[in-house]
Amino acid sequence: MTIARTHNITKKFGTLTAVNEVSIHLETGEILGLLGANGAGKTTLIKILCGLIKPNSGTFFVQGRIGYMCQTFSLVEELTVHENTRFYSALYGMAKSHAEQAERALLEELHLLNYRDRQVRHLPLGWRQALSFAIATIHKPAVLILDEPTSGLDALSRRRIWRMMQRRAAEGTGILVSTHYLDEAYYCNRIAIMQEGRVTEAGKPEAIARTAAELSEHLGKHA
Amino acid sequence: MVTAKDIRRRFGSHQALKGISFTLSDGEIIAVMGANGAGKSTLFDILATLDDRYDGTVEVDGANLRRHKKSIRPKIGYVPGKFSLYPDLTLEENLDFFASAYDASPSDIETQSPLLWESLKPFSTYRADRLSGGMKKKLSLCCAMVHAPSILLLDEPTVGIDPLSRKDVWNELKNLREKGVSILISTHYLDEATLADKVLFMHEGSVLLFDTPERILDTYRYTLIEIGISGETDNAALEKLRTILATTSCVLDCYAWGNYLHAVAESEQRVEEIAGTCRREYGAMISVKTIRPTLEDVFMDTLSQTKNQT
Repeated sequence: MTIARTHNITKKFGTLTAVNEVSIHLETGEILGLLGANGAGKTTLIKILCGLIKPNSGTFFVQGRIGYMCQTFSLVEELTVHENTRFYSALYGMAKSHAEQAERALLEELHLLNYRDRQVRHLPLGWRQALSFAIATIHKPAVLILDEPTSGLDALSRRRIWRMMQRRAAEGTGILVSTHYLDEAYYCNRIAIMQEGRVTEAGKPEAIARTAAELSEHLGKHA
Repeated sequence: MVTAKDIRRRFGSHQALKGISFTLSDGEIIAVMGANGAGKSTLFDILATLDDRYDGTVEVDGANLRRHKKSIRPKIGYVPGKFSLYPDLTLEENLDFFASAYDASPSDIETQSPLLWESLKPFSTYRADRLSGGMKKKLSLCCAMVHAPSILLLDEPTVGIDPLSRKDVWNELKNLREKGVSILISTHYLDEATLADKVLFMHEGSVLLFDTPERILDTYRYTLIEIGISGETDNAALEKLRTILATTSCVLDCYAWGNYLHAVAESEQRVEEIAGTCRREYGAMISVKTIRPTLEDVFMDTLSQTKNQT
């Protein structure tokens, strides 16, 4: 089932066309990877889907609740793990009892139960990002939109986050994720390559290029 | 050439480096990998002569780094992990500043790093803080290279920059390698590590692996297999199979990998058994093949061994 779709979406900033007639779709339980150079329009497209900016033309829909993780770190560093979880669950309108249950499950998954009252800024970067990811999914969104969730993380921290993503996808969540790590393209069911505001290619990663090294060559060809 | 012997560095009660040894030859690229906090940046600071409160010795072209700091410094180009240019100077002014600090001419960059400079040139009058993340990184590299150093120390020079810019950076590094420059570069990108001559994998201040990428891959103790279900792009079907495999005794680990599952088998002999388990569920729709591990698989395996020992 398609849970999010854009149809010929265009967004201009002054004379710059950041997103140019982009049509993509996201299915239930699918991970769609968004690849492309800085400035190709990935973040703008993501913000449109989240309803944060309005496109100039084109139509789109997202069905059900959205979970969003933006590129800059979004947790409150001075608050504890628990306070952040409580804060975001309240923002998502979750009842206290429900939120507490969800928090427990989430901290168990992250093995962070013993760090519940630790200030977030004292956690290592990999754990902060994993927590940030988990909190974006605390309200069980139908669509999860992640803007470079693994940027700057080491291989093991990245794999931890991807495993959580894959669990969410297996539960039916549709995930749109942007990344600069070419090996991560192969964790996705489909990828879309963006260049100068357009989606120039989309499909199964293994059908576009067999390996991350070939994918790098492939991205070069479009430029 | 850089030779490091048994480098140790302590911060209070924290032993950040626990005896690091390696040799970086002329015209060689070593990629340093490891989790955030493994000690990579501490090592870079020491090699860049910014921190001499360490034990052990470092020699650069046969000269002791501690004793000959001044004469060695001009040989080194260093890009620290944090952005360290002057944000309120223009791109050109930054380059001028770093060139003059080394008695070099800013125009030397055109021969020293033509690929990177080419892409920066149109923006030379922009203030450094107005540049995109990728351009800042490229400018940091140019500033570190303008005096034609024979040793480049690059601490995560490609973090957060896109695959195309990363390729530019690596093409430039390969050119420099041809000219005999020695390069130590830390990165989290596995595709970059495979471009290096050797990989140095650090964990909690120690070197766990140090060899060519190919030989590191050969140390993998298990057999990695890729399982696909033809016609199925539905993650639920893969997840069902994953749950079954995860509880099968000869499967050490099983996880989703895009449209496939990856399973870690104890040995080659177990592959048929695992394939049989899969076929009982999905019959002829199942495809099973043995695949080469990635560096990441080897790192995970190495770390689990280290944890078991302690």
